[in-house]
Amino acid sequence: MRWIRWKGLIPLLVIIALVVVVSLFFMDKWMETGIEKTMEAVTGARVEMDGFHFNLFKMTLKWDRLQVADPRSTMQNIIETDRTAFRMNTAAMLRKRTVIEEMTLSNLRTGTQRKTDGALPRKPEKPKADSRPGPFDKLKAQMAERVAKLPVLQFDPSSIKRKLNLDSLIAVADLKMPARLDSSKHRVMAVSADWENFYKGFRPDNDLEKIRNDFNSIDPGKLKTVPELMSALDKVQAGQKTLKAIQDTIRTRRDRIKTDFDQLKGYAASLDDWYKEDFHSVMALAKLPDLSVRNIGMMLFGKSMVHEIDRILGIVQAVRSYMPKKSGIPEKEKPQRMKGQDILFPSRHAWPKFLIRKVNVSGQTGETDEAQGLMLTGEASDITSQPWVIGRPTKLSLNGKKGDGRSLSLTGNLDHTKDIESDQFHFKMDRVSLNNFGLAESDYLPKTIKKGLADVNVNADFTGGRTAVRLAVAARGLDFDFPEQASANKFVDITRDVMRRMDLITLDTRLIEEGGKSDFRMDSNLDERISAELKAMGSQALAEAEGKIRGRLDGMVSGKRTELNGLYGEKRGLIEGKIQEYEKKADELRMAVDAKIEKIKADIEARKKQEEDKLKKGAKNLLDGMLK
Amino acid sequence: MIFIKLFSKLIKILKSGDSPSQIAWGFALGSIPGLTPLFCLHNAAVLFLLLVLNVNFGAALLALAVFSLFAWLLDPMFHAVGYWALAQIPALQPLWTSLYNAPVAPLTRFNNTVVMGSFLVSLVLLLPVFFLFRALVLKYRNSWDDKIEKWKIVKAVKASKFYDLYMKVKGLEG
Repeated sequence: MRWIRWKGLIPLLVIIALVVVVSLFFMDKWMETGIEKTMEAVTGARVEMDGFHFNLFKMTLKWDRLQVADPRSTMQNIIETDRTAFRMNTAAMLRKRTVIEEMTLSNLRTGTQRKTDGALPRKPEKPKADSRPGPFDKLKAQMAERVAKLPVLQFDPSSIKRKLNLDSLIAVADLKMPARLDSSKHRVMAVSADWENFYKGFRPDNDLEKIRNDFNSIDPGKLKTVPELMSALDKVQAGQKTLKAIQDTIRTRRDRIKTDFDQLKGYAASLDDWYKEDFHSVMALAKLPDLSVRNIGMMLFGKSMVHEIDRILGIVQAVRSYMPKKSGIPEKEKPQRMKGQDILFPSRHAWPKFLIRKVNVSGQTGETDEAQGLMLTGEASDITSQPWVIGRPTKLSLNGKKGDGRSLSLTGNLDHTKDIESDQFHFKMDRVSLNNFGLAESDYLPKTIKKGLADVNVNADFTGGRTAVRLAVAARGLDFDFPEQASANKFVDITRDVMRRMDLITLDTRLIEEGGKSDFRMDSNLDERISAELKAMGSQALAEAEGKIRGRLDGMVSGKRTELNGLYGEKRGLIEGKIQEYEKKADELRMAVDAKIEKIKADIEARKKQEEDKLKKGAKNLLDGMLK
Repeated sequence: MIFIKLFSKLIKILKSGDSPSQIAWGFALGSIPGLTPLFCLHNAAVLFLLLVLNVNFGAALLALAVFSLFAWLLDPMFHAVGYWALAQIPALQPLWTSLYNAPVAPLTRFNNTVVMGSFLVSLVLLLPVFFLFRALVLKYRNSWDDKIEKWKIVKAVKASKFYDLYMKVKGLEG
């Protein structure tokens, strides 16, 4: 048996020949379709290439015309190019890398009209294999929720009086002050009762009287001898000691009474807070409009701005999915069945899987040569699917100008070469036309801006886990095409009126997210202007309504308040007066006792001196007699 | 129906004039494109071998059909084996890096876990499949042929109108 089947080479050659022939005839079509489908998946609208040709031997690729439909307006192209040709790196191609050294997109146009609709046929949504949320999905949801939660302002000054039903409001409001005043009154009464009970057992009068009697019974003038005086002094000093103990008890009690009543007095400091709390509670139920309303800009243009920021976040999200950051040993994934996971290894040629080293762009935003818009020039470098392989960030730069002052500039720096990715964009457009510009659905504004110009400035920085986007718009000469008839909502009328009179409307939107905390806000010159109009119109009606609520609350609590203050003063005076009376008596007695002790001591000293002199004199006489 | 078709195909191959080794090699080589993703460059090499080597091509097609059924079930195992070989054996990293940077080799998609895993598994199974299928051919030719012809189910199938129709169609195909 022979192991080699030479006849088998014939079908092999036939197969090879078939593959080559079929490829020569159909490769262009296959590649064109493949590129179109891939780009359609990214843009979400139809992509069409005309005159596509791939030369396998020269490794060149060209097309005569490329149209990318605008997914938001599918009868327009977002980009259209004329003939474009470029060469691919053959050595890289043999290593399954697509490397394009330089590409020139000349006569690029934006906003050109399409002959056919560029919308993709709607397909039933398939569950995505990778259903992990994108890095900005949560942030987008938070922004949308923030705008959705903004109240729909209804303002009608006459309805404030009409709707204010104080009886039902007071019945529904959980007013706390009356109960608090009652509770304070009970505490005053309880503390007073405690001290009154104390006084029933506390009678220092008897002891003081006894000391007084003992003290009065001693008359130092009648005592002749020192021992008599010394005995009287002991007796008075014993009384003084007892008196001192009584005084200490009185002072201790006096201090405690003071402390107790001072603590009770704490309610007085809370009265105003209790009142405010109840007042705000009733005000909240009354749902009176807040005339110092802020965020008017966000109420009016919030949805539109969120839509624009969503687009920016969507672009960055898409960029990051196609240009992942550097990662170490690949984590084991759970890929789709039969798809597997591609493990990447270091590239010795510094060729990533996809790279366009440089793209030169020139063109215009106008639709035709006759209706030219901005003349565009720009370039992009190092567009790659593996930035860390080439070690350089992707840089974008696009500029556009026109003689009438309109200009455009876009710069971008996308650094995904390190562990922490960093994307920065700056977009500036001056005097952009807002004619027939579509607005997001709003309770206050029409669907489109009829006429106007705007300066747009976008700064976006996405570094690591931090997101900072600032979108500033300054719009001039806006014509919103408001309906002539007045709205049932006064706020809408005021808004329309203010906006008609304003030459310049500014919207400054900021979004910052870091560490899971996000801050989304919008400042606008509309806030102050519309709020001032609202105040002027509604402040009198509101003041009256507030006055009514205050009057009713005052009526409910002022009686209790006066009663509590009176009770407190009365009880404190009574309890403190009593202890002060005892203190006064004890102090007076103490002074008398101290004076008498001093008198007895002085008498003792005088008597002692008398006796001494007497003894000295007797001794002298005796001595004189003995010496004679 | 597919199982009756595969069974009759198998019987036809077993009864063919090729030697048991030719049939078994055809079946073993056919198991490689059966287990691995079909449109990969290494399968072009397998096709080349199947056409140039004097092996049974029908057995290869049968193996392709049979092993394709198993491949879908074994996919998670292929992924695990491929990941282990590509990412978890440091000693092989220089080899994979060289291949990754060599011309043509990346076109084989060797760095895909399912391609690598299924290819390794099919290589490991190549000789066992050969010997098992060779033993099956020998066993069939020596003792099972007559017995199987007597099976009621085989008789019933042969007696059925469907079988007549099938044979006529086969006859028309030549």
